[in-house]
Amino acid sequence: MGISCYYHDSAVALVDDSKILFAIHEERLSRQKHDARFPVLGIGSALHACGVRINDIDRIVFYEDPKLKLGRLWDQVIDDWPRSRRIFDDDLPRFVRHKLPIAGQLRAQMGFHHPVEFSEHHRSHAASAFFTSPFERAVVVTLDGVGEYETATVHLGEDNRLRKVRSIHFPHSLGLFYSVFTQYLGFEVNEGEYKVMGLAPYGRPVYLETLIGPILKLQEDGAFSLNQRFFDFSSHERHYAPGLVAHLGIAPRSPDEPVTERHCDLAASVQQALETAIAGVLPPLMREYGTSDFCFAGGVALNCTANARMIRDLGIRSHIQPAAGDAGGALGAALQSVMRSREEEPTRRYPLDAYLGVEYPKPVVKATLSLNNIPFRECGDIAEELADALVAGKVVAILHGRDEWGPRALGARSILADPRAPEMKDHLNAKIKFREEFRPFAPVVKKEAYGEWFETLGMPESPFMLYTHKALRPNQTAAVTHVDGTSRVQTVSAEQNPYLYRILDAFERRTGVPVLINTSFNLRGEPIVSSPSDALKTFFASGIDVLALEDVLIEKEASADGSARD
Amino acid sequence: MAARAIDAAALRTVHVSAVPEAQKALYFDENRAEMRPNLVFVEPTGAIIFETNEAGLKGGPLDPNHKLVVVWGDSVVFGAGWGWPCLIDRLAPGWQFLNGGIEGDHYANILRRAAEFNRRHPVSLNLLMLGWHPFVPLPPERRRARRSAARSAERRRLRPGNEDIRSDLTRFLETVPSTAVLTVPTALNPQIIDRDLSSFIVEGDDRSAFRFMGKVRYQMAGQRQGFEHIVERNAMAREVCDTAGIRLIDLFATFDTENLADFREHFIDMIHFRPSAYPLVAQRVYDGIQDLLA
Repeated sequence: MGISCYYHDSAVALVDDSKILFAIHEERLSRQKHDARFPVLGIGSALHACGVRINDIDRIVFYEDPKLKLGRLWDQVIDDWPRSRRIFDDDLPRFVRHKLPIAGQLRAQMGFHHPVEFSEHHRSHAASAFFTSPFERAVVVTLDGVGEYETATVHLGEDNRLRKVRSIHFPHSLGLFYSVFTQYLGFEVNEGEYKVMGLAPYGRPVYLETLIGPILKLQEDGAFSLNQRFFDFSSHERHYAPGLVAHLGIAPRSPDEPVTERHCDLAASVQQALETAIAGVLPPLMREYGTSDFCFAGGVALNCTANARMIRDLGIRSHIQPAAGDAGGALGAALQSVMRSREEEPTRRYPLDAYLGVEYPKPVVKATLSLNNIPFRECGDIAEELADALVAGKVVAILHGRDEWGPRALGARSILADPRAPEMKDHLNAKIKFREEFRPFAPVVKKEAYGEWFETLGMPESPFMLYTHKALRPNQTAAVTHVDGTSRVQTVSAEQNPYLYRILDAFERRTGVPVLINTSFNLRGEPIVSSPSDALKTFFASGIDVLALEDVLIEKEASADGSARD
Repeated sequence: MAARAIDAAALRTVHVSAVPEAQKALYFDENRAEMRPNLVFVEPTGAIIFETNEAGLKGGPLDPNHKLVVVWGDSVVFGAGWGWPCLIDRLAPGWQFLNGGIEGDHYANILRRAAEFNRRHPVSLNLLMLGWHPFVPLPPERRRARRSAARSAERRRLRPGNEDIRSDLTRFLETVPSTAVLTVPTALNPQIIDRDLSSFIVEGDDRSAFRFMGKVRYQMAGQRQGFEHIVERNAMAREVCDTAGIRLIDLFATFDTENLADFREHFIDMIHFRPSAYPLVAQRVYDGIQDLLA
């Protein structure tokens, strides 16, 4: 079992010798967005789902090394004193109270008697990507805010081995670079990075030269550094120094301030700077190791635009597992532990499935509805009924099978809608998602139709929504085509998710379009739903018209104007 | 048939049964240190294991046609499934017994919850069991000696975690006099506390298993400490009730295991009743308060 917690996005993963048995973000179960607490619900669900008890687990592996991380925090306190006072007063005591005694907590709270191991933050990231990849040999690049000391690593993955060959240490960090500008643009760190990415295509990278060079220094060998004159990572209020404001000549945006053209331009510039930096990292590695097969992990690997550009511009083959952020460290921690003991054995890889979380049996679905006196209907072929509703312009939410692994809804807990009319985006935003207008919705497409509707980037499939692909028929997928003509595509096959595939198929038979809007089944600021109860609450708190819990259909009573009542 | 407009916040939350460690995280509201209201725990088959009502107590909805009795405590009261307090209902027509137990709850929070609930709801009778928490194993001799120097002679005699029981309970009973106190039972008795009982620890179901203390591994030293802790706590409860003229139902004495053929008969571990004993527990509690319900 691998666990990650006490930073952000706690998670649990359970693996055996050949399979990933279970993996889930704690937030899905606790209903607390970015829940960083000890993942007791995830652990409980893993045990329950796999039919094992805690002491049937051979070992539990924590995703990073708390002692090493404590060393970095102390260094930061000393180096930045007195600005680091808050780290000393708040972060260090919390760290010592929670993260340092994690092994003791596993024993006391869970009654676990077997070994507790510690991985390293970036090794966990690297393992999560490489050991789930199709590659026997690949260069593994990890990029995030900061782990213990490292903010970026390069590992060479060969067979069952991972060998670290490069690393860059705090405070030089591409993840922190992006997060600082996320904050500068008025969005929440560790949450609003997607918004910067979504905003970027609306602007022009006119600040690129203001960023690259003076702030973000890029070297020939791919290394990078941040000019610390512009940053203040020891401050809790803001991670940029006053010098950054003067240098940019744009005032920081407050969260409730309108987004202006300058903000869009800054977002575009930051996005391009990130892409330029990553694009600088890869070619020297390609030359040195003679491969164009890359695995990526760490929070930066959730930047779909950058991921796609690396493929387009450098011709690499890319593998990313869907929980590339810190939650994925739980999976990597477990995998690296298993594989370390298998280094001399024949090469093995862990097949990657998007659906690794909790499944709710149908009796639980029906009990949830009955206990709340909700009228429902069991459908013989729910895909046909949902397709009818979608064609009629209704918004449909589905809950099927096990939760998705990672931050994206991939058709297990999704809101679906007709992608053809551009107005559907506004409709979804106004009635359900309540999110910023500039953020695009993503499409799901039948795998076999993928190449006809979207640029494939040379990939036979794109099942985890991790790359932006050019829309080939944007007029027919207007609601999921971003302003730059791209879409954050998920492909789905009949084998991967027959439930969702059948809905797509039924929709295609009615419209000729094998594509649907697929957005996460949640309200703004909430985690994606997990249980039928969560689904019902979100359904009745939003403008979703139809809810499908497996093959059980719940429709809202229509109001006088014909729309579903909220 | 379409669903009418429904207030999402009023929906009952249905959880599938989880392992015990995770269950509390689902029902316990950390911010309010109380049980969340309107929960239903079900088996994967959909069968209900237990519910919490609109007031955040284990049991059915508050029934205005019945007089309310709430049993307050820790895991000994919380129990498995619906627990034993709800079983007293059928012995006392016209009365509704609800379960106010929370696993691992500190006695001070039990008192706080009970007092707060009584301010908000008309409770005819409170049944209060102080429970085990905090149970602080005594530190090594040297540390104990150092700590003792800083404590008053009176407090020094008491085990850690029990120092303020007397005053806290007295104050609570003055605030909430409609209370009867239950002593805390245990499978331990003076005959066995210094014996190696590890051979009695067995895996199995609710009828056959016997554990040490919840998920804690067996440790002989813990037996005596646990026994002394709860004997001391019960003695203080008896003393306070005697002084205040409060009814005391001595479950510790009722379920004393010293003269039983098997000390495990009514207990699934050293501190928790076996579910098969719940009807007997309910009967004994009812016997102790029957006249108060008249």
